[in-house]
Formats: sequence, structure tokens, C-alpha cells
Amino acid sequence: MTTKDLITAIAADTGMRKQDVERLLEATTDACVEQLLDGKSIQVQNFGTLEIKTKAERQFIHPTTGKRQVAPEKKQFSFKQNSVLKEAVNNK
Amino acid sequence: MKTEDRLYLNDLQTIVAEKSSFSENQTGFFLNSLFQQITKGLATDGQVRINGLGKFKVQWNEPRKSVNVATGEQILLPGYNKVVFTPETQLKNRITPAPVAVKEPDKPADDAIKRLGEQAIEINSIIAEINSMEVKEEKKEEIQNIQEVQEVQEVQEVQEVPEVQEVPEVQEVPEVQETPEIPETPDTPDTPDTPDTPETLETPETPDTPETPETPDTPDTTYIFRPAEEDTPVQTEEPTPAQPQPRKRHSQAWLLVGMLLVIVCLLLILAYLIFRPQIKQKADELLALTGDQTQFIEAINDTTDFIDSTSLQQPFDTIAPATDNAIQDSTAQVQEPEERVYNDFLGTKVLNNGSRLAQIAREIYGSPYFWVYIYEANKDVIPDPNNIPKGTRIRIPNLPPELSDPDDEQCIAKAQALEKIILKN
Repeated sequence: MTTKDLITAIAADTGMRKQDVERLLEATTDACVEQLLDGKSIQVQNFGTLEIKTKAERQFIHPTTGKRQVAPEKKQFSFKQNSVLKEAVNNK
Repeated sequence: MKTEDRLYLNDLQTIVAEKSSFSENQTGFFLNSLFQQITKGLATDGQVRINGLGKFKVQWNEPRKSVNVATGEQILLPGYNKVVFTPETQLKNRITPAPVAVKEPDKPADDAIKRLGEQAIEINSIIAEINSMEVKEEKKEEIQNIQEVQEVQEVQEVQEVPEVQEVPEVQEVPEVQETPEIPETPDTPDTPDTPDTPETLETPETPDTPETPETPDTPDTTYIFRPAEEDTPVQTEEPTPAQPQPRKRHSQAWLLVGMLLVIVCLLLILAYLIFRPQIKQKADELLALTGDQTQFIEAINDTTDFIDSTSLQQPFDTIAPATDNAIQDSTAQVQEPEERVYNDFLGTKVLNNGSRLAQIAREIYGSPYFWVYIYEANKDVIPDPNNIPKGTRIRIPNLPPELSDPDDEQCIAKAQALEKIILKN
């Protein structure tokens, strides 16, 4: 499902115009990205949680050189599905 | 995560309503629908892409075995679908810290330069090693080797008879006049005197010493240096030209000496290359005639005559010693090759693709020159020492110490002489 399909589906569901849906969707993604980058997590009922997690720095052994190195801490997007979403996905 | 960092749908709703010109009611309505539709899309399509954010995708998690912690019983956890989120690359790049992204390309560049430097040093050392090793598998290397052999023998001669060589070296230009006389005259009178065996040919050089009275032909300047040269025979070539000059110009003198040495070496090589086939022919004739003493002597006389003529034609002073050496080698080798019988073996070795006899000899005997003995012991399985088929099993002979002493120059010279014969065949 692409963004276009999604817009069409939402427009059909809510009865709003596609342009409005598009504008709202853009605003929503912008807001989400903004908030996520700000360190916030977005929790949506019956859907899941979207957030940026920080992975702590860790030591690892380089496979080819065999040297012990430190991988610096990094940030990662993570999404955890809600039990409702899990059911929806698993019960087709 | 702290509660104030957590945004719920109603929080999001206010933010989105602010951003867009829609009312909160409308946005709330929209957001509810949005997530419902995403859920629907995931359930039907398996994936939903949202521009500017990323992709939600359904991923199948395989069922896996586990152990019931309470009972220790093995249980099978069922597989299930899981929604995963992959951010757009643009978005992903925004969360990777900028300073690290800048630093990482810098460091490898520095490292690369360092590594390049290290590699250059390594390559230099390897080249130096190769030059010193003189593993002769190819003809070019063989020529180099021959040069070195000549030089070594030259040095030996210098030790024995310092005058013969130094006279030409001190004066570069007037070589033409003197040189023909000095090296040739010794040979012709000597050969009749010397006994039959070819090894005695080495003796012609020692008799040269009485002939030093002949060298008075040389200009006066050389006379002055001579006593000093006799004291230190090997390295005298360098200090001698420096003596007439004042001490201040020491470095210049060294430069001159270095150039002289280079020129002499080049002349040697040139002379050897020019006369090599002819000498070889003569040597072959000599080999054929070794049985008959008188013929042999005649042949030697012939060769010396030949050398006379050639050296008269060519103004190179170095010809005569070189040819002498060549004859020595060839004659001395005649008797050797078949003498050794290898009964005592250290073990066997299977050759792989990169194996070289010289390398093996270096590992076992300490000097690459002794590969000739390994070759001799395995002549039946090695048709060509330069091209040994992979998988050949060779036996490593246990060499007596007098044959395989890597510190003994004679041993190495012997092995080199043998090597020449083998490579010729």
C-alpha cells in the first residue's frame, strides 16, 4: 500500500477530500518526525509505539582483523506493535 | 521513558491541528481513520508506505523452540506476524550523529596514507631482500647472478694478486696499453709447467706475484700506491685514489671511487656477455679433451691465445680475469657432478605450486645456493629445475657439513659453479 492508496482509503473512509487528506497526512508525518527527533515517542492506541531508541556503545571483535573495537552509541528507529495490531495482522 | 516524553494520539492531534489549518475535531477524525487504514493495509497488503516517514511492514517470525522455565519442558513457541518499521533513508540519516559521519571518512584517509607509507617501506625492504637473495629462476636473474659470481671471484683474485687488478683501476684511460700484458703472459708460460689435472688451473694466478716486476711499465703514480694496497688487499681500491688528493676532498674521492667501481663492473658484465658463447664453446672443447693431457694443454694454450687476440681487440682490462674464471669454473666442474651419491636423507617433501628449490635449500641448509644438491639428489623426478610440476615428491639429502656450510665462501662458490652447469644443461 503506497501513500496514494492510503490517501484514497482514508478519503473513502472519512468522506474528506483527497487534497485535505493529503495535507493532513503531510502535517502528521512532519509532526511525527519533528517529535521523534525531539526525543519523544508516539504511542497510538490499538496500533503501537514509534520511537527513536539509543543503542549503547558496545565492544566488538573485528571479524577479519580480530581486534577489539568499540562501536559508538547510535540511534535507531523502533516500532513496537500493539496487541490489537498484532491480532489484526495475524488473523486474516 | 519518562511520561512527558510520551505523545498520545490526542497530543499528536493538537500538534497536527496547529500545523495544518484544520480543526482538532477534523484532525482527530483523520488520525483515527489513518491508523485504522494503516492497520487494514498491513493486514491486506502486508506493507504500508508513508512518504516522508517510512515503511510499515509485516514480518513473519518463525516458530522457535524454547524451554518452560518452571518445568524444564521443551515447548514450541508458535510463529507470528510482526509489524516492523523501516525509516526512509533521508530520515535515518538525520538521526545518525553528524560529527561521527564527518570523522569516519577522515580517519580512514589518514590511515590509508600511513598504510601507504608502511607499504612503501615494506616493498623497499622486500626489494632489498630479493636483491640480496639472488634466487635465480629466470634468465635475467641468472645473468645477475653471474655478475655476482664474477665479482666474488674478482675480489678473491684481488686478495691473491693485488697488483694485477689495481693497476687498471687506478687509471681508467690508459688501460689499453698495460692490461693485455699482465693477465695473458702468466697463463701461457704456466700451463706447460703445471700438472695435468684441470683444477691446477687455479695456480696460474698465484704465479702472477713474481711477475709484478713486469708492471713497472705502469706510470709512476701507481708505484706510490702499491705498498698501501698490498697491506689491505680487499678494500684498497677505495682509499688508494683518495691518498694523492688532500684529505678535504675525501667525499669527492669516494664518489670517484664509487663511479670507478661501477664502470669496472659494467665493463666486466659487458665483456662477459660478449665473450660468453665463445668461451662456452672453448670450454666444451676442453671438456671433450680432458682425457688427453697434451691435447688438453694445447687446448688451454689455444684458449689463452684466443683470449690474447680478443683482449687485444677490446680495450677492456677486465676481460682476461673474467675468462680465466670461466675456464676455471668449467674445468673444475668437470669432475664434480657425478661424484656425489645421496644415501642419507633428512626426509621427503611434496612440492606445491609456489615451491622453489632455492627456497627449500634456504630453509634447510641456510643458503639458497645449495638447491643444486637437492636437485642432484632428485634428478630422476625433476627434469627441469626451473619448472617443477606441482605435487612432485622430492627427497631432501643430508649434506655433509663441508658441502653445506652457508658461511663458507668456498662451499657457496662450489654450489654456484655446479648451478652454472645445471642451468646450462
